[in-house]
Amino acid sequence: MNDDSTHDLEDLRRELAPLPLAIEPPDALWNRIRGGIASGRIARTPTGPRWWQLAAAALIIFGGGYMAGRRSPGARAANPAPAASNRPSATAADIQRSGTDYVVALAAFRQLAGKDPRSIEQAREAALATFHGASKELAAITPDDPTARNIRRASASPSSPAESSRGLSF
Amino acid sequence: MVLLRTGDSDVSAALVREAQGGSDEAFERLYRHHAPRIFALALRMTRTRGEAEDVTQEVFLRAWRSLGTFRRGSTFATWIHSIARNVVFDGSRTRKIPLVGIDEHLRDLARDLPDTRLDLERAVADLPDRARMAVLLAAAGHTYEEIAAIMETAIGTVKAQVHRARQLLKEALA
Repeated sequence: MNDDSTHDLEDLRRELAPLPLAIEPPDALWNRIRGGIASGRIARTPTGPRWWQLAAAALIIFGGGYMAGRRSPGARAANPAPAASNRPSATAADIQRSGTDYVVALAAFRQLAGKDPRSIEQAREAALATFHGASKELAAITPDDPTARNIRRASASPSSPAESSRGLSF
Repeated sequence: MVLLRTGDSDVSAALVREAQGGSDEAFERLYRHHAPRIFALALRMTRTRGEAEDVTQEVFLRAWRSLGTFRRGSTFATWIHSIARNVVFDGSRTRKIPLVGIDEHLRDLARDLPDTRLDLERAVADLPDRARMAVLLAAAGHTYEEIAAIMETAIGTVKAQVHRARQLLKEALA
């Protein structure tokens, strides 16, 4: 077995030699890490407008309005959620920033919520409602995108923490 | 400025000691040396650059926070890859990786790594998660013992995973 396993290892390395096994991360990544070290806060900065980043941003837009409306119906008319900029570049930046904030907020909650089942359940409901709202927007933007359809279907179906903890299947 | 070469564990150990003393500069040198391998591993485990960047960031933030637990006798490369394994598989439970299909992953790789072999990338991407990580660690030069330590499993399990993975790769490339 030792000889065979040694040969396996050597052969595997030879077979996979064409694959680049060291890939330079973007220069900005070290700045994010240094910022995280300096502030003690994880700074997540999306690097491109991937579908999940768009979805996360849509979550914020939808969820912000939804939660504000629930808490203070009158205030919604007086203080509507900020409209996205008409400039595409600014909108993309808004989306990235909002998506980052959503993910960071969830990650922070996951660590801080601890053992309070009620607050966990409240946060879970808010996160799912927001996620579902975003999935509707995403599906509307790209109705032929099967990933968007799957997200919407999956986000509409979870009924319990146990079920939802299995995550989404694509 | 200390220049590191692959396998230069003595220099890494010296830099770790400096970083443990609070030196940002030493930690940055460790990052510059080890991040490309961590990023490559994360990219092939998560299939997306954004996720791979998040994983790499989390790995080095956890490393910074945990530098005090690093002990002589282990190498920094093994230690940092252990953290990477934790981040990747912790993340897989909450983020349900991979988030994109293999075809999209390969399109991205073809754009970012024009010299790579896409048939090989596809065969590797098709491997089960843990086998894929074991194979990538082996290909990167880690020994069975190091892989077992990183994966927190028995050496025999790693040998079996590598053997089975080779068979699957052969079938995929036949």
